Amino acid sequence: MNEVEILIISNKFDFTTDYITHELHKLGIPYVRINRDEFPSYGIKLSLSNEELHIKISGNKFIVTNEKLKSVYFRAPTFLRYLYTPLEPENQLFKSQWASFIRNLIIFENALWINHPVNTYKAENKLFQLKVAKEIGFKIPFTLVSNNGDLLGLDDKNKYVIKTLDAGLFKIGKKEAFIYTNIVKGNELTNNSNLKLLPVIIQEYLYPKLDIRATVVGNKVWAVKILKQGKSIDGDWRRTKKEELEFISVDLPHDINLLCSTLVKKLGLSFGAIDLAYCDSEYFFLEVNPTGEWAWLINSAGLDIHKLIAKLLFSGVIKT
Amino acid sequence: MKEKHIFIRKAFIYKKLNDSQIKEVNEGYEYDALLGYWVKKNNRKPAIYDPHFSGPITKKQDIETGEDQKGE
Repeated sequence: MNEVEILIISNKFDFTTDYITHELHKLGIPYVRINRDEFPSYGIKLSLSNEELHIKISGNKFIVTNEKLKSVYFRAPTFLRYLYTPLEPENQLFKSQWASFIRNLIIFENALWINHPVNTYKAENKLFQLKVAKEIGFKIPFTLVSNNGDLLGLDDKNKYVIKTLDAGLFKIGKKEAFIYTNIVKGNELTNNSNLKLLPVIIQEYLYPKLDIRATVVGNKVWAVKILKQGKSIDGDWRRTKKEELEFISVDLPHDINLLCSTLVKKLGLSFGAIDLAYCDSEYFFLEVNPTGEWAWLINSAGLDIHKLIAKLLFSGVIKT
Repeated sequence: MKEKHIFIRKAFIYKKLNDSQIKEVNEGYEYDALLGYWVKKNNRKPAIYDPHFSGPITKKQDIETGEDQKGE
């Protein structure tokens, strides 16, 4: 029986998690990874009397206890976003019941969570993040949410940024679609009766702006500027061809660095992927993603994010 | 004809890779359930450090590699 110090909740094809498990393996730290898409292949028993979780994987038994468990790496969604209606009743129940099971693992209250699902749930709300960011001292773009362009008092000829409140993923026929941040003219919003269908975030258009991704792990902040062939990018940088993008490490001013780590702390997180925009000699907070990706920065910018996450999981505490 | 919502009109549409397609791309590698990471079948070394492994692959095909745990 292997008593583990670190529990990892992921899915089999989440290769980002591999960076962490490999680091933990190298360090010789007892861990176990459970994948959301492989639950039927496991034997699982959770006993509330002694708060022990027993997991049988490929004939090997792992045990998780409140006493020994130092940390949990939670690579799973907190909001349930069902893009596809499962055909079989079993599939529907599989998804809802296992999702609930992993949420209930919050009974392991003594562990450090990266991130705690309850805090992720709260922090994923974009308006709430903006509010907290502003409160702690970040500059934020002028922001409105509306389903009626006529109420906004926008200038028809001015440009604005529109984005979704929640991740803009949906299905169109057999394909999938994603709504990136878009730049529109005011008249596209004021003369659009179909806007009433759903709420839209409308923000001040920052131009020219330099995109900065700040990745926070505990108290450490890594920042990279994002360029396309040496130049800053208008609009959503994620739509740029991969081979044209550059991620270059930068040092943020001390106060901005501190704001990044403070925001993550204030939201009760241990990890956060923050999007900043540098415009008119000022840093603007755009959003923080508690479940943001980071693995591509290992090779593209030489950041050892995985090593620090593994160390943090091992220590089980964030030093203040 | 009724005009579509601005988000629908501006959405980026793509063909999603499913798990078996990702697996196909990574033929020659397998997931080791006890190690908790993918390895190359012939030498058991971690796949993520193998230059031929596709590595974190995005389902929405942008640069933010890996699935950012937003979907199901």
